[in-house]
Amino acid sequence: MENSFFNSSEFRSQLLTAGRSPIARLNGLSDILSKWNQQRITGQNSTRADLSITDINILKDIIYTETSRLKLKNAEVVSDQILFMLIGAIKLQIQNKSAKPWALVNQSISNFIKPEKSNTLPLLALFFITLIAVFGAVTNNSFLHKNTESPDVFNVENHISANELSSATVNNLVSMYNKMKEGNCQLPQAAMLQPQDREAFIAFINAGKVEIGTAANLNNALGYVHCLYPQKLMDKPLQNSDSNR
Amino acid sequence: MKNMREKILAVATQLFESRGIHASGVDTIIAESGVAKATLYKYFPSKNQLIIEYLREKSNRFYAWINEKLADKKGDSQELLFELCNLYEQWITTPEFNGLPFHIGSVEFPDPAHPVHHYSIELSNELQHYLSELAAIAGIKDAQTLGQQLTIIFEGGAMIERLSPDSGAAKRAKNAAITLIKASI
Repeated sequence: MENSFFNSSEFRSQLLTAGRSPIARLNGLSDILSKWNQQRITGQNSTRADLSITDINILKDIIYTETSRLKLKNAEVVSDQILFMLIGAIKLQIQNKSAKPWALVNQSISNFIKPEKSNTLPLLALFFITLIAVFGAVTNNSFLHKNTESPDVFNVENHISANELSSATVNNLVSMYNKMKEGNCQLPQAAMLQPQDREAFIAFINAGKVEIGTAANLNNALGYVHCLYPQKLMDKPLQNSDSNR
Repeated sequence: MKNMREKILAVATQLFESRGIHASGVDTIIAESGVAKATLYKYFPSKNQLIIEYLREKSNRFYAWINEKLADKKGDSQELLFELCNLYEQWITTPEFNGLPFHIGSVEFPDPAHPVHHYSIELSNELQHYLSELAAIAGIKDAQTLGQQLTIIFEGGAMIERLSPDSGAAKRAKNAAITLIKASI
Protein backbone atom coordinates (compact mmCIF):
# COMPACT_ATOMS: atom_id res chain seq x y z
CA MET A 1 0.00 0.00 0.00
CA GLU A 2 1.27 3.44 -0.89
CA ASN A 3 2.63 5.44 1.99
CA SER A 4 0.34 8.44 1.88
CA PHE A 5 1.04 11.74 3.56
CA PHE A 6 -2.60 11.85 4.59
CA ASN A 7 -2.16 8.66 6.61
CA SER A 8 0.96 9.84 8.33
CA SER A 9 1.31 10.83 11.95
CA GLU A 10 3.21 13.88 10.72
CA PHE A 11 0.10 15.16 9.00
CA ARG A 12 -2.08 14.49 12.05
CA SER A 13 0.30 16.22 14.38
CA GLN A 14 0.59 19.26 12.09
CA LEU A 15 -3.17 19.46 12.02
CA LEU A 16 -3.48 19.27 15.79
CA THR A 17 -0.99 22.06 16.28
CA ALA A 18 -2.75 24.23 13.69
CA GLY A 19 -5.19 25.58 16.24
CA ARG A 20 -7.58 24.82 19.02
CA SER A 21 -10.80 25.65 17.21
CA PRO A 22 -12.21 23.73 14.23
CA ILE A 23 -12.04 26.88 12.08
CA ALA A 24 -8.38 27.38 12.99
CA ARG A 25 -7.65 23.78 12.07
CA LEU A 26 -9.56 24.05 8.78
CA ASN A 27 -7.59 27.15 7.88
CA GLY A 28 -4.44 25.43 9.09
CA LEU A 29 -5.24 22.50 6.84
CA SER A 30 -4.80 24.65 3.76
CA ASP A 31 -1.42 25.88 5.03
CA ILE A 32 -0.28 22.31 5.69
CA LEU A 33 -1.43 21.11 2.29
CA SER A 34 0.07 24.09 0.54
CA LYS A 35 3.50 23.41 2.06
CA TRP A 36 3.26 19.70 1.46
CA ASN A 37 2.28 20.27 -2.16
CA GLN A 38 5.08 22.78 -2.64
CA GLN A 39 7.54 20.17 -1.41
CA ARG A 40 6.11 17.70 -3.90
CA ILE A 41 6.49 20.21 -6.70
CA THR A 42 10.07 21.05 -5.85
CA GLY A 43 10.88 17.37 -5.47
CA GLN A 44 11.64 17.42 -1.75
CA ASN A 45 9.05 14.71 -1.30
CA SER A 46 9.66 11.39 -2.95
CA THR A 47 6.13 10.93 -4.29
CA ARG A 48 4.59 13.15 -6.92
CA ALA A 49 1.78 10.78 -7.71
CA ASP A 50 -1.68 12.14 -8.30
CA LEU A 51 -4.03 12.00 -5.36
CA SER A 52 -5.80 8.69 -4.95
CA ILE A 53 -9.40 8.19 -3.93
CA THR A 54 -8.07 6.89 -0.58
CA ASP A 55 -6.20 10.16 -0.02
CA ILE A 56 -9.32 12.09 -0.86
CA ASN A 57 -11.46 10.03 1.50
CA ILE A 58 -9.00 10.52 4.37
CA LEU A 59 -9.00 14.23 3.72
CA LYS A 60 -12.78 14.27 3.54
CA ASP A 61 -13.06 12.48 6.91
CA ILE A 62 -10.72 14.97 8.53
CA ILE A 63 -12.67 17.92 7.18
CA TYR A 64 -15.96 16.36 8.20
CA THR A 65 -14.71 15.82 11.74
CA GLU A 66 -13.90 19.51 11.99
CA THR A 67 -17.09 20.80 10.37
CA SER A 68 -19.16 18.52 12.64
CA ARG A 69 -17.64 20.28 15.60
CA LEU A 70 -18.93 23.57 14.25
CA LYS A 71 -22.44 22.24 14.80
CA LEU A 72 -23.55 23.29 11.35
CA LYS A 73 -26.84 21.96 10.07
CA ASN A 74 -25.22 20.91 6.83
CA ALA A 75 -21.79 19.81 8.02
CA GLU A 76 -21.54 17.18 5.32
CA VAL A 77 -22.27 19.65 2.53
CA VAL A 78 -19.79 22.16 3.93
CA SER A 79 -17.10 19.51 4.28
CA ASP A 80 -17.63 18.57 0.64
CA GLN A 81 -17.32 22.19 -0.40
CA ILE A 82 -14.08 22.59 1.52
CA LEU A 83 -12.78 19.34 0.08
CA PHE A 84 -13.38 20.51 -3.50
CA MET A 85 -11.51 23.72 -2.80
CA LEU A 86 -8.55 21.92 -1.24
CA ILE A 87 -8.29 19.37 -4.04
CA GLY A 88 -8.70 22.07 -6.66
CA ALA A 89 -6.01 24.19 -5.03
CA ILE A 90 -3.63 21.22 -4.89
CA LYS A 91 -4.17 20.60 -8.59
CA LEU A 92 -3.85 24.22 -9.63
CA GLN A 93 -0.73 24.72 -7.56
CA ILE A 94 0.86 21.80 -9.39
CA GLN A 95 -0.26 23.09 -12.77
CA ASN A 96 0.64 26.71 -12.31
CA LYS A 97 3.50 26.38 -9.86
CA SER A 98 1.87 29.08 -7.86
CA ALA A 99 0.60 29.22 -4.30
CA LYS A 100 -1.98 31.82 -5.35
CA PRO A 101 -4.98 29.45 -5.24
CA TRP A 102 -4.41 28.85 -1.53
CA ALA A 103 -5.08 32.47 -0.72
CA LEU A 104 -8.61 31.93 -1.98
CA VAL A 105 -9.16 28.68 -0.14
CA ASN A 106 -9.44 30.18 3.33
CA GLN A 107 -11.64 32.95 1.99
CA SER A 108 -13.90 30.33 0.43
CA ILE A 109 -13.96 28.29 3.64
CA SER A 110 -15.30 31.39 5.39
CA ASN A 111 -17.95 31.71 2.67
CA PHE A 112 -19.00 28.12 3.13
CA ILE A 113 -19.30 28.41 6.89
CA LYS A 114 -20.77 31.92 7.02
CA PRO A 115 -24.10 31.55 5.16
CA GLU A 116 -25.40 29.09 7.71
CA LYS A 117 -24.90 31.64 10.46
CA SER A 118 -26.13 34.65 8.57
CA ASN A 119 -29.35 32.97 7.57
CA THR A 120 -30.45 32.54 11.18
CA LEU A 121 -31.11 36.19 11.90
CA PRO A 122 -33.38 36.94 8.93
CA LEU A 123 -35.31 33.75 9.63
CA LEU A 124 -35.81 34.75 13.24
CA ALA A 125 -36.90 38.21 12.17
CA LEU A 126 -39.26 36.67 9.63
CA PHE A 127 -40.70 34.46 12.33
CA PHE A 128 -41.38 37.41 14.63
CA ILE A 129 -42.96 39.41 11.82
CA THR A 130 -45.20 36.44 11.03
CA LEU A 131 -46.09 36.14 14.69
CA ILE A 132 -46.99 39.82 14.85
CA ALA A 133 -49.11 39.54 11.74
CA VAL A 134 -50.93 36.49 13.08
CA PHE A 135 -51.57 38.15 16.42
CA GLY A 136 -52.71 41.37 14.79
CA ALA A 137 -55.02 39.71 12.33
CA VAL A 138 -56.62 37.33 14.79
CA THR A 139 -57.18 39.45 17.86
CA ASN A 140 -58.37 42.69 16.30
CA ASN A 141 -58.68 44.90 19.40
CA SER A 142 -60.98 42.72 21.46
CA PHE A 143 -58.98 40.09 23.20
CA LEU A 144 -59.72 41.12 26.78
CA HIS A 145 -63.47 40.67 26.43
CA LYS A 146 -64.71 37.15 26.70
CA ASN A 147 -68.04 38.02 25.14
CA THR A 148 -66.45 39.04 21.89
CA GLU A 149 -63.78 36.42 22.04
CA SER A 150 -63.47 34.30 18.99
CA PRO A 151 -62.25 30.70 19.16
CA ASP A 152 -59.63 31.80 16.65
CA VAL A 153 -57.81 33.71 19.31
CA PHE A 154 -56.94 30.45 20.94
CA ASN A 155 -55.71 29.11 17.67
CA VAL A 156 -52.79 31.48 17.66
CA GLU A 157 -50.62 28.74 19.02
CA ASN A 158 -51.93 26.33 16.46
CA HIS A 159 -50.83 28.66 13.72
CA ILE A 160 -47.27 28.40 14.92
CA SER A 161 -45.63 25.14 14.10
CA ALA A 162 -43.65 23.13 16.60
CA ASN A 163 -40.44 23.97 14.79
CA GLU A 164 -41.09 27.66 14.90
CA LEU A 165 -41.85 27.60 18.61
CA SER A 166 -38.22 27.29 19.49
CA SER A 167 -38.16 30.42 21.54
CA ALA A 168 -39.16 30.26 25.19
CA THR A 169 -39.88 33.96 24.96
CA VAL A 170 -42.55 33.42 22.37
CA ASN A 171 -44.09 30.63 24.43
CA ASN A 172 -44.19 32.85 27.46
CA LEU A 173 -45.74 35.68 25.51
CA VAL A 174 -48.46 33.48 24.09
CA SER A 175 -49.14 31.97 27.50
CA MET A 176 -49.27 35.35 29.20
CA TYR A 177 -51.45 36.76 26.45
CA ASN A 178 -53.97 33.97 26.96
CA LYS A 179 -53.95 34.30 30.73
CA MET A 180 -54.49 38.05 30.49
CA LYS A 181 -57.27 37.53 28.01
CA GLU A 182 -59.01 35.13 30.37
CA GLY A 183 -58.79 37.63 33.21
CA ASN A 184 -56.43 35.51 35.25
CA CYS A 185 -53.92 38.26 35.81
CA GLN A 186 -53.73 41.64 37.39
CA LEU A 187 -52.75 44.20 34.83
CA PRO A 188 -50.89 47.39 35.57
CA GLN A 189 -52.58 50.73 35.04
CA ALA A 190 -51.29 51.96 31.75
CA ALA A 191 -50.88 55.46 33.15
CA MET A 192 -48.29 54.34 35.66
CA LEU A 193 -46.00 52.93 32.97
CA GLN A 194 -43.23 54.86 31.30
CA PRO A 195 -44.45 56.34 27.99
CA GLN A 196 -42.57 53.89 25.75
CA ASP A 197 -43.41 50.91 27.96
CA ARG A 198 -47.02 52.05 27.98
CA GLU A 199 -47.14 52.27 24.22
CA ALA A 200 -45.71 48.79 23.81
CA PHE A 201 -48.06 47.42 26.47
CA ILE A 202 -51.16 48.98 24.92
CA ALA A 203 -50.19 47.70 21.48
CA PHE A 204 -49.81 44.24 22.97
CA ILE A 205 -53.14 44.10 24.84
CA ASN A 206 -55.18 45.95 22.24
CA ALA A 207 -53.83 44.56 19.01
CA GLY A 208 -51.73 41.61 20.11
CA LYS A 209 -48.70 43.27 18.58
CA VAL A 210 -45.14 42.51 19.57
CA GLU A 211 -42.83 44.97 17.87
CA ILE A 212 -39.23 43.83 17.72
CA GLY A 213 -38.03 47.39 18.27
CA THR A 214 -40.04 47.81 21.46
CA ALA A 215 -39.76 44.28 22.80
CA ALA A 216 -37.64 45.50 25.71
CA ASN A 217 -40.31 48.08 26.63
CA LEU A 218 -42.99 45.43 26.49
CA ASN A 219 -40.87 43.26 28.72
CA ASN A 220 -40.66 46.09 31.25
CA ALA A 221 -44.40 46.59 31.17
CA LEU A 222 -45.15 42.90 31.51
CA GLY A 223 -43.05 42.91 34.64
CA TYR A 224 -46.02 44.60 36.31
CA VAL A 225 -48.45 41.86 35.28
CA HIS A 226 -49.22 39.47 38.14
CA CYS A 227 -50.97 36.28 37.35
CA LEU A 228 -50.99 34.85 40.87
CA TYR A 229 -54.15 36.78 41.73
CA PRO A 230 -56.94 36.73 39.17
CA GLN A 231 -58.27 40.07 38.07
CA LYS A 232 -61.91 39.30 38.51
CA LEU A 233 -62.95 42.86 37.98
CA MET A 234 -61.62 42.80 34.52
CA ASP A 235 -62.81 39.27 33.79
CA LYS A 236 -66.46 39.73 34.72
CA PRO A 237 -66.76 43.29 35.99
CA LEU A 238 -70.51 43.44 36.33
CA GLN A 239 -70.90 40.12 38.15
CA ASN A 240 -68.13 40.96 40.54
CA SER A 241 -69.47 44.38 41.33
CA ASP A 242 -72.93 42.88 41.98
CA SER A 243 -71.58 40.26 44.33
CA ASN A 244 -69.59 42.85 46.19
CA ARG A 245 -72.67 44.79 47.05
CA MET B 1 -5.89 18.89 -47.24
CA LYS B 2 -7.52 20.38 -44.19
CA ASN B 3 -9.56 17.21 -43.93
CA MET B 4 -6.41 15.19 -43.56
CA ARG B 5 -5.35 17.23 -40.58
CA GLU B 6 -8.78 16.85 -39.02
CA LYS B 7 -8.77 13.15 -39.69
CA ILE B 8 -5.43 12.67 -37.93
CA LEU B 9 -6.58 14.77 -35.02
CA ALA B 10 -9.85 12.83 -34.75
CA VAL B 11 -8.03 9.51 -34.68
CA ALA B 12 -5.49 10.80 -32.15
CA THR B 13 -8.31 12.12 -29.96
CA GLN B 14 -10.08 8.80 -30.02
CA LEU B 15 -6.87 6.95 -29.13
CA PHE B 16 -5.79 9.41 -26.42
CA GLU B 17 -9.13 9.18 -24.73
CA SER B 18 -9.53 5.45 -24.93
CA ARG B 19 -5.95 4.29 -24.32
CA GLY B 20 -4.27 7.28 -22.77
CA ILE B 21 -1.80 9.74 -24.25
CA HIS B 22 1.39 7.86 -23.43
CA ALA B 23 -0.02 4.54 -24.58
CA SER B 24 -0.91 5.94 -28.00
CA GLY B 25 2.26 6.06 -30.07
CA VAL B 26 2.71 7.95 -33.32
CA ASP B 27 2.89 4.68 -35.22
CA THR B 28 -0.51 3.63 -33.94
CA ILE B 29 -1.99 6.99 -34.87
CA ILE B 30 -0.52 6.69 -38.35
CA ALA B 31 -1.81 3.16 -38.74
CA GLU B 32 -5.29 4.00 -37.46
CA SER B 33 -5.65 7.12 -39.56
CA GLY B 34 -4.20 5.52 -42.68
CA VAL B 35 -1.82 8.37 -43.50
CA ALA B 36 1.86 8.38 -44.24
CA LYS B 37 4.29 9.31 -41.50
CA ALA B 38 5.38 12.33 -43.55
CA THR B 39 1.79 13.52 -43.79
CA LEU B 40 1.38 13.37 -40.03
CA TYR B 41 4.57 15.29 -39.43
CA LYS B 42 3.58 17.82 -42.06
CA TYR B 43 0.60 18.85 -39.95
CA PHE B 44 1.97 18.00 -36.54
CA PRO B 45 5.76 18.38 -36.41
CA SER B 46 5.92 16.35 -33.19
CA LYS B 47 3.75 14.18 -30.98
CA ASN B 48 3.83 16.98 -28.44
CA GLN B 49 2.33 19.31 -31.02
CA LEU B 50 -0.37 16.76 -31.72
CA ILE B 51 -1.15 16.51 -28.00
CA ILE B 52 -1.30 20.29 -27.71
CA GLU B 53 -3.69 20.46 -30.67
CA TYR B 54 -5.80 17.74 -29.08
CA LEU B 55 -6.03 19.71 -25.82
CA ARG B 56 -6.80 22.90 -27.76
CA GLU B 57 -9.54 21.19 -29.71
CA LYS B 58 -11.01 19.67 -26.57
CA SER B 59 -10.99 23.04 -24.88
CA ASN B 60 -12.56 24.74 -27.91
CA ARG B 61 -15.37 22.21 -27.97
CA PHE B 62 -16.10 22.96 -24.35
CA TYR B 63 -16.22 26.73 -24.87
CA ALA B 64 -18.34 26.38 -28.02
CA TRP B 65 -20.83 24.19 -26.18
CA ILE B 66 -21.04 26.32 -23.09
CA ASN B 67 -21.27 29.61 -25.03
CA GLU B 68 -24.11 28.25 -27.07
CA LYS B 69 -25.94 27.18 -23.93
CA LEU B 70 -25.34 30.50 -22.21
CA ALA B 71 -26.14 32.63 -25.25
CA ASP B 72 -29.62 33.58 -24.07
CA LYS B 73 -28.55 34.12 -20.47
CA LYS B 74 -25.98 36.84 -20.97
CA GLY B 75 -28.34 39.60 -19.97
CA ASP B 76 -29.46 38.03 -16.76
CA SER B 77 -26.84 38.39 -14.08
CA GLN B 78 -27.41 35.70 -11.50
CA GLU B 79 -29.08 33.25 -13.86
CA LEU B 80 -26.02 33.31 -16.08
CA LEU B 81 -23.75 32.05 -13.31
CA PHE B 82 -26.23 29.55 -11.94
CA GLU B 83 -26.72 28.14 -15.42
CA LEU B 84 -22.94 27.95 -15.78
CA CYS B 85 -22.88 25.72 -12.70
CA ASN B 86 -25.62 23.51 -14.13
CA LEU B 87 -23.66 23.17 -17.36
CA TYR B 88 -20.50 22.34 -15.47
CA GLU B 89 -22.33 19.51 -13.72
CA GLN B 90 -23.70 18.27 -17.04
CA TRP B 91 -20.32 18.43 -18.68
CA ILE B 92 -18.35 16.49 -16.09
CA THR B 93 -20.99 13.79 -15.73
CA THR B 94 -21.15 12.94 -19.41
CA PRO B 95 -19.72 9.46 -20.12
CA GLU B 96 -17.14 10.99 -22.46
CA PHE B 97 -15.70 13.26 -19.80
CA ASN B 98 -12.14 12.24 -19.05
CA GLY B 99 -10.87 15.27 -17.19
CA LEU B 100 -10.35 18.95 -17.75
CA PRO B 101 -8.00 19.54 -20.69
CA PHE B 102 -5.39 21.31 -18.61
CA HIS B 103 -5.65 18.66 -15.93
CA ILE B 104 -4.92 15.93 -18.45
CA GLY B 105 -1.89 17.83 -19.71
CA SER B 106 -0.36 18.43 -16.31
CA VAL B 107 -1.02 14.93 -14.97
CA GLU B 108 0.37 13.15 -17.99
CA PHE B 109 3.31 15.53 -18.21
CA PRO B 110 4.24 16.56 -14.68
CA ASP B 111 7.56 18.07 -15.71
CA PRO B 112 7.03 21.84 -15.72
CA ALA B 113 9.55 22.22 -18.53
CA HIS B 114 7.56 19.95 -20.83
CA PRO B 115 5.75 21.85 -23.61
CA VAL B 116 2.47 20.04 -22.94
CA HIS B 117 2.64 20.87 -19.26
CA HIS B 118 3.42 24.44 -20.17
CA TYR B 119 0.45 24.55 -22.51
CA SER B 120 -1.84 23.14 -19.83
CA ILE B 121 -1.00 26.17 -17.69
CA GLU B 122 -2.19 28.39 -20.53
CA LEU B 123 -5.44 26.44 -20.71
CA SER B 124 -5.92 26.68 -16.98
CA ASN B 125 -5.43 30.45 -17.09
CA GLU B 126 -7.77 30.62 -20.04
CA LEU B 127 -10.56 28.94 -18.05
CA GLN B 128 -9.93 31.26 -15.15
CA HIS B 129 -10.19 34.30 -17.41
CA TYR B 130 -13.30 32.94 -19.03
CA LEU B 131 -15.00 32.39 -15.67
CA SER B 132 -13.91 35.83 -14.47
CA GLU B 133 -15.33 37.40 -17.61
CA LEU B 134 -18.64 35.65 -17.09
CA ALA B 135 -18.65 36.83 -13.48
CA ALA B 136 -18.01 40.38 -14.70
CA ILE B 137 -20.86 40.13 -17.22
CA ALA B 138 -23.04 38.90 -14.38
CA GLY B 139 -22.20 42.06 -12.49
CA ILE B 140 -20.03 40.53 -9.78
CA LYS B 141 -17.94 43.22 -8.12
CA ASP B 142 -14.84 41.12 -7.56
CA ALA B 143 -15.22 39.07 -10.71
CA GLN B 144 -11.60 38.01 -10.84
CA THR B 145 -11.68 36.46 -7.38
CA LEU B 146 -14.90 34.62 -8.11
CA GLY B 147 -13.44 33.38 -11.40
CA GLN B 148 -10.46 31.98 -9.53
CA GLN B 149 -12.64 30.41 -6.85
CA LEU B 150 -14.83 28.75 -9.46
CA THR B 151 -11.79 27.45 -11.31
CA ILE B 152 -10.50 25.85 -8.11
CA ILE B 153 -13.81 24.30 -7.20
CA PHE B 154 -14.49 23.08 -10.75
CA GLU B 155 -11.05 21.54 -10.82
CA GLY B 156 -11.57 19.79 -7.47
CA GLY B 157 -15.05 18.60 -8.38
CA ALA B 158 -13.94 17.30 -11.76
CA MET B 159 -11.10 15.35 -10.25
CA ILE B 160 -13.25 13.68 -7.60
CA GLU B 161 -15.99 12.94 -10.12
CA ARG B 162 -13.43 11.29 -12.35
CA LEU B 163 -11.95 9.21 -9.55
CA SER B 164 -15.32 8.29 -8.19
CA PRO B 165 -17.94 8.48 -10.95
CA ASP B 166 -21.62 8.65 -10.01
CA SER B 167 -20.74 9.52 -6.43
CA GLY B 168 -22.62 12.78 -6.72
CA ALA B 169 -19.41 14.79 -6.58
CA ALA B 170 -20.41 16.84 -9.62
CA LYS B 171 -23.67 17.91 -8.08
CA ARG B 172 -22.04 18.76 -4.77
CA ALA B 173 -19.32 20.73 -6.54
CA LYS B 174 -22.02 22.61 -8.43
CA ASN B 175 -23.75 23.47 -5.16
CA ALA B 176 -20.45 24.59 -3.66
CA ALA B 177 -19.93 26.88 -6.66
CA ILE B 178 -23.42 28.30 -6.21
CA THR B 179 -22.62 29.02 -2.56
CA LEU B 180 -19.56 30.98 -3.63
CA ILE B 181 -21.52 32.87 -6.27
CA LYS B 182 -24.21 33.82 -3.76
CA ALA B 183 -21.55 34.96 -1.31
CA SER B 184 -20.04 37.23 -3.92
CA ILE B 185 -23.26 38.85 -5.14
